Formats: sequence, structure tokens, C-alpha cells
Amino acid sequence: MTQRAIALALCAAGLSLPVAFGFQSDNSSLTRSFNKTVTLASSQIVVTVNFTNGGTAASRGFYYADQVPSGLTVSTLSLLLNGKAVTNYLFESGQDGDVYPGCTPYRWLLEQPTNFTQANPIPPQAPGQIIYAITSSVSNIFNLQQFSWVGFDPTMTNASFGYSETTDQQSVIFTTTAAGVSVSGQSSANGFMLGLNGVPGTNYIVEASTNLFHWIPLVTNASPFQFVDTNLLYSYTTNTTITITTNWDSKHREITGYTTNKTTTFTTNSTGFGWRFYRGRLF
Amino acid sequence: MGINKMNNGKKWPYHMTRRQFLRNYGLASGAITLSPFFIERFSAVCQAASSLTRVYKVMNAPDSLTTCSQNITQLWKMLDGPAKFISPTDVVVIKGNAQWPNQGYTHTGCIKAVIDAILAIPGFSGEILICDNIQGGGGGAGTYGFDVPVSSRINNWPTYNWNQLAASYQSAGKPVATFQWQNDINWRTPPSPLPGWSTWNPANGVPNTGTAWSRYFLNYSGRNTYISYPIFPSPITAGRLIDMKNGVWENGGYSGRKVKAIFMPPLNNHDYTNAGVQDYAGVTSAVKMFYGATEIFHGSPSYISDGYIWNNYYNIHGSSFSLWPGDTQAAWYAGQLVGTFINNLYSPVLYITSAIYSGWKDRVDTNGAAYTNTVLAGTDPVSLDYISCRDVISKVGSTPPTWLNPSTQNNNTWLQLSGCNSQGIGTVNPAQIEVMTYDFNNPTATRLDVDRKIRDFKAGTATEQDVKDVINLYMESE
Repeated sequence: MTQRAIALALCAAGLSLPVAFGFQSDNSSLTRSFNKTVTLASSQIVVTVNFTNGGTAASRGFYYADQVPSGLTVSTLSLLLNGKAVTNYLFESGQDGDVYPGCTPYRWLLEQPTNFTQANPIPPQAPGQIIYAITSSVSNIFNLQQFSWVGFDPTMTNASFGYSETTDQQSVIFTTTAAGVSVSGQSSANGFMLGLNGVPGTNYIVEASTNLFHWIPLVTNASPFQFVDTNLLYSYTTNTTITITTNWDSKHREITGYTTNKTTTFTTNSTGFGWRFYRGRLF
Repeated sequence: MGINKMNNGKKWPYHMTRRQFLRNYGLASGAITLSPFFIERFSAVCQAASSLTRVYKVMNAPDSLTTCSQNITQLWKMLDGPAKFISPTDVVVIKGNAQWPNQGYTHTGCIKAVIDAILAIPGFSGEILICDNIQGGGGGAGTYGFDVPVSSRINNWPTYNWNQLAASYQSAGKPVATFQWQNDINWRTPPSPLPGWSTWNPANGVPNTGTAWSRYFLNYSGRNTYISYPIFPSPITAGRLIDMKNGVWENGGYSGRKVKAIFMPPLNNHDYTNAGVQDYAGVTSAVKMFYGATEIFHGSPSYISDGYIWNNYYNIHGSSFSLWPGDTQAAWYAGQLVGTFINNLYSPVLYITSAIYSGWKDRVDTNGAAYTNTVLAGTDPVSLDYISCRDVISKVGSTPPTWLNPSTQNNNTWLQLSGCNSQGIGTVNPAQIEVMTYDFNNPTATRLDVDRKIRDFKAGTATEQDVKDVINLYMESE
């Protein structure tokens, strides 16, 4: 199984494998991983960055930059150099759109030129690790795409750097409900009206069933939306009592990565038909 | 750094040091003010930096007495290019200061460099118009930035005046023109209650003066006051009206094409007494130049006063500066009304101060200006003027005009800026201003320069060596 396939598999479980940089100008390596990709708004997603200096000289003035989508808050959890905690690093943010539209640059500096007074060189083959948390107070999907690192060998005036490629990007989801969606239903004059409020802009598929076993897709729409099922085959009346259940069906695609890992289904209390929702995209 | 030093197998051309190479080739870079608000340690949440307002300053370009393009070119690099502010289809209005000769009008070479960058936006199909309302003041025809002769281009770009500059572009087929806004001397009934608008309907064309104005009426500190913005015909596209607030009008309606304003002030001591002292305004630059963006009707049929009260309504000058010296807060009122203008009429997308020369004595005395060789930019006029005054004009001259330094509170410059700031525009707190500087005499690079160059490399518009050059400069910046 390729690394990418493994990453995809773990993404489905809400984790991301460390992803190596797409480009580096020397033999150094850097990976970025997320402890989960879906969480509740105001909860943390922890990002771990591991760097190994592949050069033959100590890397001076090292900094790592992550172009973080606006709306996310970033805070540092720890910074290790060669396994030891570093406390005199510098942490800064720029302004929205400084480098990429809709993103704010955040940087962690081990040393600041020109004198590198922090005295945090990364020796050859030595590792450095930055762990930081991202949070969002609102429900949304954020795509963390661009990140890079920079180092310098002052004895040879030799710069080194690396950056992410398209395949290194990672989407994270902050939701306001544990299941990621809230659903509602009520009878209407011409059918049954379903409402869904999930991750904004994310497509959800509504399926219907007359036996809660075979399911037929009815509509795909972006959250939030309302949908009226006018199919009279379901033969309910406007007076039918609708019971909102949590009749999860593990055979179908689930709301990947959410805490409950379930699909929401509406059923009536008498005829056995119902509707269910799931996110219209596989990770 | 030794001469001819090898760098990753790359030799700098023509036996230059890398620094010389970078200086001569104008590599993007800048020096950043690392204030305590910008860099934080440990796990502090980075909120403060984003709240900083940024002012860009470029100085000491070697070509400022000739071609005069390197300062502005470097400024655009630090601003991440004109396309960040201007779309290819926009009509761009460059509002300069035209009323006074010599250093009093916006440096034509700087205007040209700004125009060149906008015209270079891929697919640019808009227009660029150089505009101002000189309010019928100054020295009369032949003394304005539009039409000033060579003899009155002292401490300015000698090659062209504004009209000649526009003509040179037009002869090359470029969509550049000048337009001198004129007051409309026709009174219109204000709305009731105040504040409110008397908007001009573009369907009615423009008055005989050539410029229509939408007027905003308000009661300001007990004085009924009006401020206005122009609607005027494009000198380039027949049938097109330029509405500074609502965009382009043509074919009977607003077309959706946007109008973007770039304000380009000079940097001078206002002093109308020619004594080299602080007058009622203090500095005249980005905030003060709004007085040429509106109507200051002086009375009819001939000039009465800057403070003329028109049917019981004050113009912006009458409602502020004309109250001086009886009211020592006049400069504050002036700034506050400019803030009102920005919040209610329109807000320029960018301000670029041309301080190639700075009139430390006044706007016109050719012996009262210093060659400061600096340009500055920002997205609000208050922070920009604060830095221009603190770092440039207050430090030059045989008798440096320290009264122009807003670090000393309660001088008229500070009052002017603080009044505007009171409307939520910019800041007069230097701790909230991030100054990004590039000095051609000491080229430097920032982490922002590095990150952008990496971005450009990824996009295929820079080479790996370009990235390394910027990193090396950043690492060795002094």
C-alpha cells in the first residue's frame, strides 16, 4: 500500500499520516501531521511538524511557516530541538493575504538573523519538532495548503528551503454538533419536508427507503438546505407522526470522521419508510 | 562577504558582491520593524500582529533624479504588486495634489511609475485618470500640476507636467488621461433630517462645469456642513461616467466596472504664511489631500473666502480650518471630517506618498524643500501620515520642522491625524504601526519576502536560485 493510500485510509478514521514535503532544496525532510481532521468548534486539532536537517552543516536561522486559513486560531504547544525543549524561539503572525489570499502566515523561528542570538542551531541529521494547535469558534471547513521551511549555513552562505506541494494539503473540519449535522423533519402540504444543517457548503445526500433496507438517492445539496419529498409512493399522510430516530446503517457510507460516525435516518412510526442523510463525499 | 564569492556554484555577475547585485537588480526585500506586538514568544496566540496597520517605506533609490522609477517599483514589490489592489478592468483614479507648483504638487515621476505598474497588470483594459480639484485656488493657470511649465517644476520631475505625461501615454496608445474636477456652483436643497444625501443621477449627465457631485449633508459640531464626491465623464471612453462611489455608468446604468482610487499626496509643511512655521493645518499630505477630493465653494460669482457659508451650509474648509485660530481644535475638525468622508463617501484602495522632495518650509519655496528621496504607502491616510511626518519631513531642513512630528501630541499635525483617527481611520499609536522599510543604501529582506519568493517559485515565476538569493539576503540583513 502506498503512503498516500495509507494516509487516505487514516484520514477516513479522522487521522492524518505525517506528510513529507513535496520539495526541499537539500536532503532535509519535514513532515506535517494532524491528530484528527474533524472536531467540534472550539476544540483543538493538534498539528505536529517534524524536521530533520539533512544538510552537512548546522542549519541556522531556521524557521517554519504555515499559511493558515483565516478564521483559525493558532497557538504553540511545544517546540523541541534534538529532543530538548526550546523556550527562546520566536512565534509571529503576519497579516491576512500577505502571501496567499485568505491565509495568514504563522512562523516559528528557532533563530533570528543576523546574529542568531537565540543559539538554536539544528545540527546535521538532528531533528526539530513543532507542535501547535488550531481552533475555530465556528463550524467550517479549512484547507491548510501552503507551508515551508527555511535554513541557512552562514559559513558557506548557503540557503536551503522546502515547501509543500498540492498533495500535502489537508482539510480540517470544525463542527458545531457531535454528529456534524442536525436534521429536522415535518409534514407539509405536498409531502414531507426535510431540513439539514451541517458543515456549511458541504454536500449531503438524502436517500429514501420504503423498507429501511434498500435506499434510493433523492437529492444532493449543499448544507444548509431544505428538501420536500413529494413521492406519494411512501403513502404517508400529513397526519402521520414522524419519529426522528437514530437508526444508523453501517453498511452505507458514513459521516466520515465524526465522533458518532453514524448516518442520521428519519422513519415513521408505522410504515417503515424513511429518509437518511450522509455526506456526499468519500475521503 | 567577499567579492566574487561563489554561492552554490553560482557566481555573481560582473564581479559584484551579492549585495551589489541585489541592489542593482532591485531584488524585493525590506526591513521589518519587529515591534513587541509583532513577535511573541511561547504559546501566545498570534492575534496582535494581525491588528497592526502597516506602512511601507522605500528610500534612496539611485534613479530618483532621472527616471524615478526604482523607489515606486520597490514599493509595489513590497505591496505584493498592483494586482492586489487593481483588477484588469478597473478604472483607476489617481488623485494627486495639483494646486501648487514645485514640490507642492505630487511628483510626476512617481505618478508615472505607479501608472507603469498598473498598465503592466496582465490584460489591463481599464483606464487610468489623474485627477484633482484645485478649488480655483493656487496661482492660476500654468501653475498647477496639470499644466505647470518647466520653470515651476523645481523639486519635482522636470520632464513632464501631468497633462504632458498623460499625452505621452496616449500617443503610445495607453488609456491614461487627466481630468481636473470643477466645483458645481448650483445649489441643491439638502435632505431633511440630516445627515443625508443629495445624490446626482448620472442619467442627467453632468453640469456645464463638467463635473457633477453627489453631496452628503450633515450637522457637524453644530454647523450644517456638506462634503461631496465627483461624477465626471471619462476623457478616454465616450459616454462613460466615472462615479467615485458607485462605479462606472454607461449605456444607461451602472455597468459593474469598478472605480478604484489611489491617493498620491506630496509631503509638505502647509504653512501658507511662507515663514516656515506651523499654520492651522500642520502637514499637508494624505489626510489633508481629501480637501481636493470634494467641493470647496468659495462664493459666487467671485472668490469670497475658503470659509464661505453657502446657504447656511459650510464646506469642509469652512467647518474646520477656517475656524482657526479662534478655535485651536480646527485641525482636529479637519481630520474628523476627512474620516467622515472616508466612512460615508468612498475609501481609496491605497495611498502612496511621493516624498522625493519634502517641503519642510512650505509647499512652494524652492529653497525650503529637502531631497528626501522617499516614497511611502499604506491603506489608511492616518498611519501613513504619521510615519511620513515622524520619519521623513520632521527630520530635514535647515530648521527641521519638529512641529510636524506627531509624536509630540497636540501640535496641529497630531490634531489633524487624531481627528481622522477618531472616526476609526488608522492609528496615531506608533506601537500599532508596523513599518516595513527598504533602503537602497542598505538592501535587506524579510521573512515575508522569503515566503513570497517561495510562492513565486512554486508558481513558476521565480527560480530556485531566486529563492536562495532572498534567503541569503534575509539571513545577512543588517
